[in-house]
Amino acid sequence: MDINKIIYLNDDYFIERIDGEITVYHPTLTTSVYLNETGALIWELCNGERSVADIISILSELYPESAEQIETDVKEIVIKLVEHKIGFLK
Amino acid sequence: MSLFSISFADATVGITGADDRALEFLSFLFSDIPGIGDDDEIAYTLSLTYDPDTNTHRFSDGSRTIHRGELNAGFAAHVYDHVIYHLLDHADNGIALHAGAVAANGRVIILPGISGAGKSSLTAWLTSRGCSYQSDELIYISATAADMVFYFSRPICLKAGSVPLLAELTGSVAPQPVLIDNFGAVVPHRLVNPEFFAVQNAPDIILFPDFQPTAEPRLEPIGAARATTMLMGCLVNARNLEQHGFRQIIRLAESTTAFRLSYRSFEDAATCLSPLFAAA
Repeated sequence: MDINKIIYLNDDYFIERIDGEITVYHPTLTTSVYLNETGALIWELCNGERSVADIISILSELYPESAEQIETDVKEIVIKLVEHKIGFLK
Repeated sequence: MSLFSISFADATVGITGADDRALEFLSFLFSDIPGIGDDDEIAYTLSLTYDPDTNTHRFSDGSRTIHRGELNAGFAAHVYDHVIYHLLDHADNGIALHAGAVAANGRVIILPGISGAGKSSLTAWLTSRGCSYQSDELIYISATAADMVFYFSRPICLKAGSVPLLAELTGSVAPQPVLIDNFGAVVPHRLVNPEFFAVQNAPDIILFPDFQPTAEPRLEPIGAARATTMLMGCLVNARNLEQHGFRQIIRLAESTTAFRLSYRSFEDAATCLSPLFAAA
């Protein structure tokens, strides 16, 4: 993955935040994605302006003790969003 | 020409059939479906006719033959697929879920899962352990009738790989009457547990079965966000609903305790589920 690419979220989805977690449903593709609390945090940082590297950097600053795991988690969530066509990298 | 009607989820499908064997077969398949025989408006009509030249039955949709052959488990699968399709084709007053369901200790447990997830086998096993069978395939939660729930109480349909369970489930190696062929088995649920009472309560527990032959058994509580995501994959009539039923599914997930059951065997399932059934 080129972490310097920006992660964009597609427009057509329904989303619900419940107890710090997120469920997303894409009505056209009829796919759904679950994001736990970590995934929800990453989702909130996907604003169409930040690259994957930016998101990793922001979270690593916030949670320095988890810096190593953060890169893995961010990449996993980005891959999940792209695979389910909820988001795309550009 | 006789008309056999099946009513479920605000719709009625009719099957025309001329001979006694056809009617007997349809009674076997649908006798516990709520609303059977009602004089509601028929939304769709299929037919089941006997061909004396080939000594087989023909299941058809107008002039199109859906299936031809003996009235066995494989034939039943075609009948169920098409009847359920037409019952739900325009269903927009509630959510239809691929799910098994049982009642125990005054509570209803639903087991959502796509085809092949193991819900029929686990539902059958729970029934054999004293739960009241409600369905192994489909439930419909009405959005208008005070959240009334309808359970598609057909005979238990086991796929070929689960047929060896029959002896354990029924206490007999050759229980009767049961349809068995290479496709699988259609087992009257009263053979597994003769105590049957239909319920219309909303589910109290959502139990997602996850058969994992090599994983450690585990009963894992899951939150509403994850339950919603998993339930959306089991929703049958999404295209008929506003926002594809997303909001209704969220309401169900938020109001119902949910678990995922990972198990390698029914013994594992029994161990994991005992606290659930013990708590009232």
